[in-house]
Amino acid sequence: MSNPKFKITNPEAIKLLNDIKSGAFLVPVKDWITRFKWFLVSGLVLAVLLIALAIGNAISRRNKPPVFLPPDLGTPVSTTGNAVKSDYEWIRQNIQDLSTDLPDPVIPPFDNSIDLESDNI
Amino acid sequence: MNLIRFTFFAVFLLVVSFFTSSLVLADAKSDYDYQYSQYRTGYSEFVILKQDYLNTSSLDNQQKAMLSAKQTILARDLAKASLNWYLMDRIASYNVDYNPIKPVITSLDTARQYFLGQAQKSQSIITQEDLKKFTQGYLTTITENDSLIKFGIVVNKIAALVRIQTDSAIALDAIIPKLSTPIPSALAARIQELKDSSEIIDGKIDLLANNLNLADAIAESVNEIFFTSRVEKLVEIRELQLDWINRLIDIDINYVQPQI
Repeated sequence: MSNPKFKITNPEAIKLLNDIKSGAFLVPVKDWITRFKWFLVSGLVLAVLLIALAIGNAISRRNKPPVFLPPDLGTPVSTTGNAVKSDYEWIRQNIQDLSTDLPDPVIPPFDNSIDLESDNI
Repeated sequence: MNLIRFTFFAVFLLVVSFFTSSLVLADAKSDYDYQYSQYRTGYSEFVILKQDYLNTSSLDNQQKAMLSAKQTILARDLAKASLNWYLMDRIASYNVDYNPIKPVITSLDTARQYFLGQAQKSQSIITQEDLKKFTQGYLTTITENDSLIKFGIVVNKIAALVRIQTDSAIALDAIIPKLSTPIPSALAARIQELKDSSEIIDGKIDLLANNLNLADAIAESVNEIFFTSRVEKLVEIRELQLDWINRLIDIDINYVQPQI
């Protein structure tokens, strides 16, 4: 059984292999990184912050502070239903209704000097 | 059979008189409102016609002003008579028999008759000279009759206070027999206090009523403090009555009414 041996003959592939071996392949990548390093740093910082916020939010949700409520006092019950009433409330009502304003009724103005001579109109 | 018919007829008359009496009570106020509105309308017309006459003294303007003056005088005196009747009606509605206010009630009726007489007399006015004489005569007698209205207004309030005193006294008399005997000394003391307070209030009402000096009605009525000085007394008596009834109701609730 023969052992087949491959030999790369494509010049482009040979060049690519040589570039990989020599590290020349990484040169454009390094150039790009160097060119946009501040953008990359800023993006990295932003990503770290967003991740930190997400983590903080998740932690805070898990550890909610305890809520303290006042004890239940129950519903107030009206006590006016069984109040005792006097038979003489109407006298009190009459006194309260009595107006002490004077004059009541008001005396309207009347002209007692009706004639055709005086100029008092 | 005739007896039954007569009985039915008597009951019918009783029912009719009951309803008509309440209508008469309502009439005093509505009559006064109507008469006064007639006077207001008549007077505003008279003022215009008199001004026309004073500006242009024509016979036509004089006749118009004279007719309007007669109508206005009639409406004025009928309105005053109605006001007196209205006051008398209100005083009578309290149904009190209280001697100190009786002279004022009589004077109110006399003044009412005077106003009705003047209203009738005004219709005999024909000339401008008649009108002048009528008004001159009217002015010499009107002050006293007008002043009585003020007295009537105060008496109306006094009658209301007396009614309350009467009702309060009846209430106390009704409560005492309902108290369990022997009456505890503290409760007996409270009842005695009520009786003493009632006498004090009666005395204050008497003082207010006896201070209405009809003999000097004109001088009294023109006094600026005629009403204001009496308002203070009314307020004081009303407060005492309110305090009195509060104490009575407290006894009624705690010692008479069944406790729930």
